[in-house]
This record gives sequence, structure tokens and C-alpha cells, in this order.
Amino acid sequence: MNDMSSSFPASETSAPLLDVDDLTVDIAARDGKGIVHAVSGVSFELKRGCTLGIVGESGCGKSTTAMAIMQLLPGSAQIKSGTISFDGNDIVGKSQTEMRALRGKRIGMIMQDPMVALDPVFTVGDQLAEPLKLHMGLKGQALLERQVALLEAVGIPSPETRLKQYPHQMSGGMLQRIVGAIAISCNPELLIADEPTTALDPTAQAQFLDLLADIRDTRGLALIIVTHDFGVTARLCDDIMVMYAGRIVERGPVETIFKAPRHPYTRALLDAIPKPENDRSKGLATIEGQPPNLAESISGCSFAPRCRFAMPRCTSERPPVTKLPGDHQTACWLEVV
Amino acid sequence: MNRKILEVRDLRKYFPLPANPLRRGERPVVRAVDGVSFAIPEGETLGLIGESGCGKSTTVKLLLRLESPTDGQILFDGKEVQNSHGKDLRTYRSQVQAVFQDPYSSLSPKRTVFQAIAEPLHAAKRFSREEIIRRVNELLDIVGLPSTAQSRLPHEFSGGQRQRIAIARGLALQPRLLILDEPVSALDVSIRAQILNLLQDLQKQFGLSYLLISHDLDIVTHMCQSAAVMYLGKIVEIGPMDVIRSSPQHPYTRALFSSVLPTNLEQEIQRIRLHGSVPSPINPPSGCSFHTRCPSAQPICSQQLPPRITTAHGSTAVCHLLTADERTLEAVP
Repeated sequence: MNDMSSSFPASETSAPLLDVDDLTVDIAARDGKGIVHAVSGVSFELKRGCTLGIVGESGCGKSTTAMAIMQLLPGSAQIKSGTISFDGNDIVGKSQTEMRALRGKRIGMIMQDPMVALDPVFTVGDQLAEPLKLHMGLKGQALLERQVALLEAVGIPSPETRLKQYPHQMSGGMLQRIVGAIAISCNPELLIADEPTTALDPTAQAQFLDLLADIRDTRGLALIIVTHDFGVTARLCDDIMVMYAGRIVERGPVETIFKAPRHPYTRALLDAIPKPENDRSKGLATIEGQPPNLAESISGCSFAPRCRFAMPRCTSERPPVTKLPGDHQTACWLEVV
Repeated sequence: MNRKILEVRDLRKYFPLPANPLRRGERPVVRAVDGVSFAIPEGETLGLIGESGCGKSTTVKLLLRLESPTDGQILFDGKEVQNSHGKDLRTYRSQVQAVFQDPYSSLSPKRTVFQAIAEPLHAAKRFSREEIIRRVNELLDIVGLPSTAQSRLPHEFSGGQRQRIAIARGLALQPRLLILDEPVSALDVSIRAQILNLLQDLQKQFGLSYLLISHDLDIVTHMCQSAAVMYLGKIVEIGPMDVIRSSPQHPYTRALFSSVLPTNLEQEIQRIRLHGSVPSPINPPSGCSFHTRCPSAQPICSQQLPPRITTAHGSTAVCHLLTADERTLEAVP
């Protein structure tokens, strides 16, 4: 595995590998009439060797943010403003040819469902060979050795046999490892995992998260985990970014978010998770209502209609971002008063 | 303990595979459910947990009588129902209803909410038109939907609301047992809590019993009074929820709960790593079927079927390492 560990040192002092600034993505609604403001004014940075968790519920813009970084947004989506700087270069507006040189090589991606991510009519070996041939020009014995080494790196027993098999011959946990092997095949500097364990059983999920941590630590790559599950972030992340209705509502180190969350949405979300130490005779804390329709313009805070602490100001003016001690920030009027 | 609403005794379901033309004799079978026994006391919730392919869904199909068991008994309210048909089966099915995982596929997109909820009432053939209309209104109110919802189609509702519709349909015939097959895993965290609370309220209100199947062990812990852990078609441990959660005895139960993601940062979980994946139920391993992945397997585990043991904590586990004298796993070197 040594020959594969990348040459990028995990120095925490260096400039961020990824710097997203004021990213705004609009998606044309299917009926062609409205515009969905999927992501609005999202800014964050990520250093090598660090892990960022993007947490939120369906439709909060977390996956759209990930796809924007990969420049894999659907045709109906448009980056309205903002920059995505990867290793000092803005990738917004880069041509597909330029992006193809980055994707799979310097930026790897793991999708939610390995059954969908892998092609059923090609062997696992074929699919693992594709990026290696394209980006690294490997062939013959060197290609095979690299394939075997990658499958070993993700903990798949008897890799030579597995390379000749098709996706349907393996379990979900094993397929997700294969997807992981493909994602890291060309030593990426940034790895984006979108709900990487949602489709897996608890034991396979725990194994895969261990594997991701292991890959990050041995290769010093930057990792973005997109998830709805705070448990995943507790195990892996340095920083957490909580999104709601296309905006970042709170961001900070994992310790701070878990122990001293400030935004009412983050607090409510953490309270809504069943915990073994809870009194079971009492119900769970809930967040009443539904997330807003992002095709409508929202004045004020988008969480205000569901917020227990909402004040008149919350529905009329958008809350500014308040910086708190310890690299922690939140967008809430409660912090301003 | 309350009266048992449902009892399952040594239930088996073997699916025959196509015969191998090159081999005479035995046809291979998949032992999807292989001697499962459990009971649900009235008004309580039993959690059924285990990895994909362990036989949970087949057990559900057997209980709903969508499949016929190869062997074993299903007793509902003390009466055998595994072979009932005709009117008896109709009565049984009206008392045991199910709510499934994905409310996007469990509701027909072409039928209105009224039609969806009224369908079991029509099928029961014992309600007049007026009664059906009244009951649908009542059900919508019970699950917290406005009565204006009934003329609308499923696509107009969010995932959480659709699950409420599915629950209303499940409750239509006033069942006594609801089978909840991953009822919230397709829902967002904040909506999940709403549905779980609704289910608990309904249980109290109507004295319902639940069989809950879920991957999320924290949800099972939150909802259930007792839990059964399945592995390769067999129950390896069953007992009160608190025991299963805080002092699991079977090595598989321990591994399963040690893989739960932390809900806070203090939680230091001693992870037990299982290697490999679940073996095929076509040729399950000899002896204890878990021995191929068990971190504490002994030679005897691959040779003999493990005994069923009542542990000191009050659960029942099937394991060689838990002997009658040393009833806790800590005692095993």
C-alpha cells in the first residue's frame, strides 16, 4: 500500500485545497415556469487531511453543493454566482474536457447506491481499470497489479477472483468498497462521498466508515461527507456544516456542533434523533411542519416558520452570519440580539 | 406479561432452487427462515433486527400470509392461522396489517387518498358507503391529516404525509397487530420523529401491538419492549430490549450493537469488527451458522448446533460459548 500513498503531505497550515465562496445554484423547475434556489450563498473551505461533513435533510442543497464541486450538475441547473477554487484554480465555468482531467483523478466521488453507481454488464475489473487507463495510462501487468493493490487497500479478500466478477455477484457492502477503490484509484486529493453508507447494513456501514477514515489518514486527502446522519459525522468529521433550504445555518468543529449547537435547527435536528439514554415513555422532540418550497422567494430566515424561537424580525429580514469563538458560525437573529 | 397477541413457533420457509441437471438427488433449498420462534404480548412492540438477507422480510411475508410456511405454527390470539383460508384468513388479515418502508411505492399514484384508505374497507365487504366515508374521515383525523386531503393524489404529499396515509390505511380495519417494515427509513430525521411519535400515540390510544423491523438500532431501542436478533434465518438472541441493548450476550448481537453510530461524542463504543459478509443461506455453515464470522469462535462451534440458553440477564441466546454454568460471555476466555 505504500507505493500508493500519495505524495501530498497533510499539512494543516497550507492554503485550503478547496475554497468555495458564495456559491449560488439555481435549478429550473420541471414545469419550466419556476426557479428553485437550490443553493444560496454557500461558502466554506477545506484543507488537505481534513474532513467536512455537510448535514441536512432532503432538498437542503447538500448534494447540489457536492455536484457543483464536481461540475456534474444537471443541465437544468446553473451556477448563478460564486467561485469554487480547487488548489488555487476556479473550476466554475471550466470546460467538460478540463473537468474530465480533474474528475476521477484529482477529485474522486463516492455515490450513495453502489448498485446504481456500477454498471451491471461490465466486470468489476473493467470498471476499476477505466480511470487507471484514462488518467494513468496503465496497462498489462502494471494495470493488474494496481487493480489488485486497490482491492486489497479497501479490504476485499481474493481480489484476483473478484476482478473477474460482476456487480450482482457481490454484497452491497463489498460493492461500496469497490466504488471506494475506483474513487481513490488515481490518488485523488479530494474525495467527495454523498451519503456513502445509507444503502448499507449497520455492520457494513461501520466497516465502510472505518475504511474512509483509513484512506483519509494514509493518503492525507481532503474528504467531504454529505449525509443526513449526525452519527456518520461524529465518527469521521473535523468540521460540520448544517444546511437548511439551500443555506448554511451553522458551521463549526464537530465538538462544538454536538456539544454547543447554537442554531435552533441544529438543536432540533440533534434532539429528534432517538438516543438510547432517552426516556422512552416520552416522545421524541419533533420539528413541526415541512421545509419551505425553494421555488418561492423567502424573506427572512427560511427556518422561521418551524422555529420555536421565531421573532417578528425572523420572518422579515434574513439573519446575518454571526461569528462565534472557536471557528464557529451561525446565521440566526438570536445571536445578534 | 400480557396475553400474547401473536406467537410464532418453529416457523420455517424453504425456497427450492432449480434442480441442477448434472446432479441427481436433492434439490438445493434456500433456508430463508429456519426455525424461528417468538411472541408479541398484546400492546407491546417487538423489534426484529438483523442484516439484509437474514430472513426478516420473509418472516413478514409469512405473518401476512403472502407466503405459506414450509413448517411451523403461527398463532394469532391463541388460534393457529398458518393454514387458514377463506373466511378465517379474511378475518386474520383484517386484524394484522402492515406499513411498508417506501410510501412512494406503497401508494398507487393513480388513486386518491380516499380510495387508498377505503380500499381495505371495501375489501372487507361489511361496510356501507356511509360508514366508509365516515371511517376515512376519522382515520385522516387520527393520523393528523386534514379531511381535505382525501380527494388528492399521493404525489401532492411529502414523504412524511404519505407515510401517514399508509398508516391510516393500515388502521382502517381496526387491526390489533401492525407490522412496521422499516416505517421511517425513507424519511428525513425531523419527519421521522413525527411518525415515530404518531406510532407510539396510536399504540397507546388503540392498544395496538407492533412488530417493528428496522435497520436503525436506536429506533428499535426507542420503540420496542423486546427484540429478536436474526442471523441467517435463525433467531440468535431474543429478550427484553434493555437487556439486548445494554448487555447483549450473543457475539452477533454484541457486534451488531457495537456498530451503532454514536449519537454523541462521549459515546466510546468498543467496536467489534466482523469480517466478511453473511454466508449464503443455500449452504449455511455447519454447527453455529455464525461461526465463520464470530470473533470468539471455538472448534465446537463449527461441529455442533449451539444450545439455547437463558442468560443470567434474562435473554435467550443460541450459542456454545454461553454455558449453563458460566452464563455470561465475559466468563469465556
